[in-house]
Amino acid sequence: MVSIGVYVCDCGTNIAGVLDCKSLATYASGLKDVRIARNYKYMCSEAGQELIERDIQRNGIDRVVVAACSPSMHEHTFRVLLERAGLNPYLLEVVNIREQCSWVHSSKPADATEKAKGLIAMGVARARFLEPLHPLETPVTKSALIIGAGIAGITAALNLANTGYEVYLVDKEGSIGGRMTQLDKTFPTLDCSLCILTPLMAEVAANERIKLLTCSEVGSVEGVAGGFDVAIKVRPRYVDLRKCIGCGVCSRICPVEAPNGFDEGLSARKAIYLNFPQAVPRVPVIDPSICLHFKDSSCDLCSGKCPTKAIDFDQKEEEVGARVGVVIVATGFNLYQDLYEYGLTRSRNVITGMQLERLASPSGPTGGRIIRRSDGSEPKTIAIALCAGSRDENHLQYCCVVGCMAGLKHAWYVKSHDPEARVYVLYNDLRAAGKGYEEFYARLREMGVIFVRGKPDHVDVLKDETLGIRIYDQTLNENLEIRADLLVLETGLIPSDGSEKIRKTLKISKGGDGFLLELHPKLHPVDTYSEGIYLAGAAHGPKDIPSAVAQALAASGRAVEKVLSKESVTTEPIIAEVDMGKCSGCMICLPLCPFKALKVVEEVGRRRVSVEEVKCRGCGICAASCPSAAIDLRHYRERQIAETVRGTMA
Amino acid sequence: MTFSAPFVYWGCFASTKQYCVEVSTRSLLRALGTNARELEGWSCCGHPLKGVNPKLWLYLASRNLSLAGEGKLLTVCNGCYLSLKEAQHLIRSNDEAASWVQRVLSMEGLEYREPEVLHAVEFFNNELKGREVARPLKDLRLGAHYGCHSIRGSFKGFDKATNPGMIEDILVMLGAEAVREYPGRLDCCGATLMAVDPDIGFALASGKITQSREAGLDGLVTPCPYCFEMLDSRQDTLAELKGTPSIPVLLLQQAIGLALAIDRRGLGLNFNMSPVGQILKDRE
Amino acid sequence: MFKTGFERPEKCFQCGRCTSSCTISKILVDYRPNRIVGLVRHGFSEGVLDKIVWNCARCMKCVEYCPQKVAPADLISNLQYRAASRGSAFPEAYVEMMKNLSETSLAFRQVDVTDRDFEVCNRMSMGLPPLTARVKAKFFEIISKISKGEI
Repeated sequence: MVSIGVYVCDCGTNIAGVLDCKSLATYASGLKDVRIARNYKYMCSEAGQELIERDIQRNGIDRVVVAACSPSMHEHTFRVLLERAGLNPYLLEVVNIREQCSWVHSSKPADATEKAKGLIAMGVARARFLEPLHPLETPVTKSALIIGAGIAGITAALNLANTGYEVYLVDKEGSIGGRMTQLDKTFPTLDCSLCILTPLMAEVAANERIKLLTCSEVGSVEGVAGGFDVAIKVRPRYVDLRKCIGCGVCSRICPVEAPNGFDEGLSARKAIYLNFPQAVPRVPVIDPSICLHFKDSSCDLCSGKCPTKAIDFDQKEEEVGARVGVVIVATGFNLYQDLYEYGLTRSRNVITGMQLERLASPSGPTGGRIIRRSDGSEPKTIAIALCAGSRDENHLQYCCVVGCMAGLKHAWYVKSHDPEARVYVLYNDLRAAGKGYEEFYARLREMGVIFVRGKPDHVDVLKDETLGIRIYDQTLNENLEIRADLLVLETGLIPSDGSEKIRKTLKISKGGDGFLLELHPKLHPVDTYSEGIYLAGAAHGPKDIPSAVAQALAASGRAVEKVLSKESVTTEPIIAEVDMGKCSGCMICLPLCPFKALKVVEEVGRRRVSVEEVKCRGCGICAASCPSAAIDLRHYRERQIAETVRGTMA
Repeated sequence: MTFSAPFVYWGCFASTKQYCVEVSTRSLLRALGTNARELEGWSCCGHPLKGVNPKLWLYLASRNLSLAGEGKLLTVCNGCYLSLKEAQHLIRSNDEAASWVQRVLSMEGLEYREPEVLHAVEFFNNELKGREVARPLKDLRLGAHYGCHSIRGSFKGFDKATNPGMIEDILVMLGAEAVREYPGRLDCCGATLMAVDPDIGFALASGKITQSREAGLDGLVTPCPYCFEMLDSRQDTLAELKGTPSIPVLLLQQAIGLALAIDRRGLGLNFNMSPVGQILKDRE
Repeated sequence: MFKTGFERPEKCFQCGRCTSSCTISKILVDYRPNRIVGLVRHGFSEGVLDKIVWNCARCMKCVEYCPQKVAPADLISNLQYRAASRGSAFPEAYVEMMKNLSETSLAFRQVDVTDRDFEVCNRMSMGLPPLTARVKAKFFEIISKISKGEI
């Protein structure tokens, strides 16, 4: 015997403007087991909540049904209320008569009210069979796993380490630093990128709480917030980290070359290589796919010459296991390069913005000289095309966010070196929204850069690889034909290869644009749908450096607030449970669990399945698959669901 | 390897004037051992009349599609290809257009059907795979002129619009050196403008030929009878009016036929007005 | 304005790439697809463009390169139709084609062609099967009705 209280909310005019809420309350009061039914303007307000509280404490209500907006809005509010009033918070049922009724059927108020009655009847039917549940507690391990050691990952790592937590900082490259290490300067301050980054990298290396794992990838992550069990695979670099002094003799003497990814294909690197001199750790890596020693044991020049005998061809892959409280994903971005129509791959004088960065970098393939790759000459006419592959339904629909500013920066690179050079910036819009950005745009105009508002035709490659760019200039109302010596493309940005792998490992969502999805686009930009897993940097979406840093600090902050500062984390008890009496040990459910939360147990000589409560996320797949109906989902039991459906026939 | 026998859709232009298209295609299909079928009851595809009356176009295009049933419909003209593909795409995506088509076709006793519309380029590309070529087009630097409608449109065509390569692949199979990139490769020949302002049409054709010549091509190969008319048939006029240089131009079917040792008459080479003798030499 | 093809003028953000790639704009500088789309969006296009829209080469470059899939060429086709429906003069060649269509079901009449050997050739001399009547009378009825706007 239960005593149900039904509370119908007007929600101002959101619900009451369409539904006849008074009649809904009257209808509800006529349902079996409903002792009290009320209608109030704003149930979520203090006054509204007090109504419920009083009914619980004085009028014997022990099951609460609130007919109002979506549970995603106020289920939590009302659960807290129930607890305060002395009732188990899971004895609450929220019926959505706003998003699923008044808002979508606003043109048919009478029908909508009938529908609302049906929804309330279902809610009441379910409420009869609700049972008290108690949240689960996971003790918190005070450490973090940060995947990706670019500026976002580094920022988060230092923040958490300095707050007192242990950090595992993982990166698949041989050195930390990410994309910033490839840049020459950063906009709008024109700081030397490595100059501002390397002190942070050095801090990371020196920080005792940060365990740095380069050449590493995350293999698996199991568990929940507070207690994630992580397996990290450390690839062998074939060089002993403790012995190597970073002298570089090995690279100089190595006979094998391959295209240099760090230089975006503009130069060659050796089989044993260090990407840049300020690498952390400053220890080279051997690429076994081209190293002659691995091919046919025909070479060990490097190990012979190494002064500290640091080369170790026998190094094996290692697995590092750890238990952490939170995971921050900062896996960064990659460049979109399917840009044949702009001439990319048709001419060596059409390059990406990142390639220009490498040319402009003092440690790059040309020592800082911006030259035409076709003949080594200095370009006199340079065109910079913004939005190459972005905001384009034939390529990437979204804006790359940083292209406009990068384009301005690249124009600065050219003009500051050669004021006589003719520089065209071909733009669709010019987005300079950040701090100091508008000033930077003005500065470039003052330097005499020619801004052409338009988007170029299919680019032609003319004699001696000059580029023929035909573009309608809207500001001049003229069809221009620009003969450029060099064309720089500000390309679109896409999630890095690592992002997609990690996404599947962690089972987090991605948006329509392929980037990792946040919990709420406005209010929760760093949380994911999984507690304890946070996002930072370009993995979440293209952004500039200050935004990546701010987001990383936000992610650390959330990690501390929600998990690391606590001794234990409570998770909702909406999980699966196995009735041992019914389980036949058929094991059909076992491989179906995406979270590996089912385990085999021996009981009275028989093998059966049991749920590892902390790992279970309540998806219900096992419950649906069990042929013996031995598995049920708490709070969504078969009986509860069946009764809810029967409620429609009330 | 071979397609099941397609219907061949000749189109108005090839049937009434550009005879080398039908001649060379028939010879080629015979040589390849393909039984092509005639499409009984066919009419104009409506392509040139789309602007004047789009409903007329839709009726014309859809009736030809329905005559081909669920079979394969091989087009030998870019305009026809665009017309039929666009009609298919429109009917699939626009319910109003679809129901109008059903209504009008039923007046003629027809029902709308969806054949597989093939362009000559993709068809012959497939037919040639793995075949031996009797007289490879050795030592010839040939470029492709795809025309516009074989590669661009609101539907998914048989090749990439910004970087098509199927004709060049065919040329390589024929033993020639295919020049895969040259300035203006994807430009328009100007055929449509002949109905409106011939001067513009001539200017465009002239531009194409000049750019091909400057790129050092020995010849151009095109699959479209309209492009062929602009680039080959009118070369004398262009030379007179604009001083346009000359360049040998072959229809795709002619190039393939040459490599398969089909004779001059069988390929309609008597219709080529451009100096094809330069590349034919002892290949006839 | 009902759509005759895949045109979506509402998506246009005036990047101008259609004009950059336009075959005709390089010769007739006042022929600018981006401006035509803009005029339609503003609602100023009726009548003003009646003559110029016939210059479209239907090369479909604007359709291919437009980053918002506006398909300007289809919009221009639509404007051609509106101009013709309003009784605005359109190129003689199309009048000719309509006539041929309504008489033979093809847009052109068979012609004799002089080949490079100065021989006069036609279908028969080239050994091609004759173009006998292929369509039934109903076809011409329908053509006529559509031309008059009755269907």
